Amino acid sequence: MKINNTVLFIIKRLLKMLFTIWVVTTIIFFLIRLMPSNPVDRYVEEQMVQYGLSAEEARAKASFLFSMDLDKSMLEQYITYLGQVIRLDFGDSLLSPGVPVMAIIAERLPWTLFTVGFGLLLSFIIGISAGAILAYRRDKWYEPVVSGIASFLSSIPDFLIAIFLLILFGVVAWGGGNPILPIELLRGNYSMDVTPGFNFAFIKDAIMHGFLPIMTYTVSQVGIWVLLMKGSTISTLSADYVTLAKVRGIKPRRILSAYVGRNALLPISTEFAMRLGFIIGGSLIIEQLFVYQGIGLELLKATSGQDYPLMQGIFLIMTIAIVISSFLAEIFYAVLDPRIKAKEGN
Amino acid sequence: MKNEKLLDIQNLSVSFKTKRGFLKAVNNASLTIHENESVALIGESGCGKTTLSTSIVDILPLGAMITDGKILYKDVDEKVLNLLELKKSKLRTLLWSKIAMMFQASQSSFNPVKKIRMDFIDTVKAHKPRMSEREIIKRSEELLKMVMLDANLVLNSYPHELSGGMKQRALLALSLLLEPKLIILDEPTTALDLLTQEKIVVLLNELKQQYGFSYLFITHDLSIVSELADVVVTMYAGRIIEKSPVKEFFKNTKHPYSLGLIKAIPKLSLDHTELFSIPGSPPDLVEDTIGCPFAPRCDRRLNRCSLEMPNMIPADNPHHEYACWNPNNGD
Ligand SMILES: Nc1ncnc2c1ncn2[C@@H]1O[C@H](COP(=O)(O)OP(=O)(O)OP(=O)(O)O)[C@@H](O)[C@H]1O
Ligand SMILES: [Mg+2]
Repeated sequence: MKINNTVLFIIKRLLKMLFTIWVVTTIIFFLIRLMPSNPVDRYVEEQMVQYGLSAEEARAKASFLFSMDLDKSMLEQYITYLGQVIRLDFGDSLLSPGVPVMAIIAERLPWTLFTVGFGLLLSFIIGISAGAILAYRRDKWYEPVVSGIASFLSSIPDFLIAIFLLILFGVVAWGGGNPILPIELLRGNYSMDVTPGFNFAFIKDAIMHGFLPIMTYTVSQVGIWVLLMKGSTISTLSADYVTLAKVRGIKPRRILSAYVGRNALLPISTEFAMRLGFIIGGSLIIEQLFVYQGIGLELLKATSGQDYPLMQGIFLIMTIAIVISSFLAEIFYAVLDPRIKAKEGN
Repeated sequence: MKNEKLLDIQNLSVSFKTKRGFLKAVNNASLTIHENESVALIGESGCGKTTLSTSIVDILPLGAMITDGKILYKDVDEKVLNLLELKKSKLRTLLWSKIAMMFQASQSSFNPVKKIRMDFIDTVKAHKPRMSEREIIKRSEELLKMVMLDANLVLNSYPHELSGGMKQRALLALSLLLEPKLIILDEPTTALDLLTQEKIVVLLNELKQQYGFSYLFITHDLSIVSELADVVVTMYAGRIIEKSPVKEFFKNTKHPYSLGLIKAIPKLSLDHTELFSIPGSPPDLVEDTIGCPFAPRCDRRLNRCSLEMPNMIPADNPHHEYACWNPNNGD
């Protein structure tokens, strides 16, 4: 009975996830192929006008580049396209001919996931702890101060934070010496002289290079966690089961962990996945600012270079990453809150 | 013959800080609960019953302040402790092991993300860390059976899987878990059907005989009062206005307000079920009143009543006290 509920819940969520991915995949196909002045038609036109190719030749070239057979019917093209997506085969990049799109993504995406994930996790841990403490210490003088800072941080755009951090750490020479971070040396994802792998030198170097993006994500997200957790904890603190736990003589630390903490985290945990998607999108600007070789910077390059296969691949992969993380968040939520499964169960 | 004092509330005053000013929810209230005694606290909604009882276990909501008074508790070694001045850590050892409480409308008293068994285990572990889980569960099962629940089912359920009445009974079982001296019950039977209500009242009586519990229970149901209470305490506008042994209370009611409450019981036996209700409504507790707070609604009002607040004075029966200038004398 219980097991069934859980399995059913997971299957439902899984189907929902696949459905979302399929919808996005389809939308992308239609954007590329069917919209008026879509990239394929534009490319064909361009080739004919600029290079004087015949329609046949232009279409053949386009077919090759977009790995689509333009002579086939739209439905067949769509099915071939779906097949390619399932195999994660997005063809070759236009800008770097011969390099599969997937290879580029595989090289770039982990860096973005690393910085975004690290930053988000750090902001979550700091924000949750601070929020819970503030809720307990509502009567202290520093509560409005910290809350004020948190709401200020949550309201300024992340690229401003990035610029501020860049100046603070990389430009200003504190006390007449050198800036805190040698930012010219920190371009890229890691230095030339370390060997990628599971070794201390590499990990330290990667963290150094990712430091400013990670800090940016942390600082720009921490405010919202503080505010959410504070609100959620305050309402949990006044719940009957917390009051009764006190009357039952349960130790304050146990009340915090088993009664307040877990219940207060519930409404926030879904937010986590949403934020992840949000800042993966935001990485576009941040990675450009710090010249960080992640997926955001790659997408920017692909867009300005009109590298459609690459753009398409990145869009899809980003979608999949976001959808998977929200799937995981929902599972996590259901594990935390037994009422969720019950509601969905029947 | 009289048992010893267990809890002695002396001149307790509690105020809420509100936008309009201080709301005096409890005003100079004194109340004694003896060992193995069951005290019923009655009065209209908003007269301060919950505020009075929650101040005993230190869970007044934010914004509430105890402005005056003492709450004395006699511990096992005859030591008398003022609960209001006790260190938090010391108070915590008394809570639930000596004084347990069931909340009014206790629908969310269990942790929503844990099975009920965890609430039972947590409670014992907080006081007797050495007791094994097996023992705790065994004891819990006995108690749950006593309140007519399927023990196994309840222990392995989440709170949302139980009905309101089941939760209320499970909570009652939880409050018996450490065999406290005093159990505070804020409207313990409101979520229950009449039949279950009756069973719970019978059970509470049996438990009192068996374990020697004392109860402080709040109810709007005077039939439960007559079945369960040894002493009845009437509150009005934050003040205690009458205290009496239960028989004496119903036979020889002194305060016109208490009488009004008794008269307001629907009498089904009568042909025309005429429902009496006390005219008017309780005063605003933010404003200071000079005279008796009940005076504006009272049919026995004298001039003096609006000018001077009467003190509690004993009736013929010395255990019966009331605060009224013109008490009912059966005339
Ligand atoms: N948190 C609060 N903030 C401000 N005023 C409050 C608060 N809680 C209660 N009060 C006020 O204190 C007074 C007493 O409330 P209390 O809950 O003790 O009444 P009660 O006798 O238990 O009523 P009921 O029978 O409806 O449960 C009421 O006038 C109420 O408005
Ligand atoms: Mg109440």
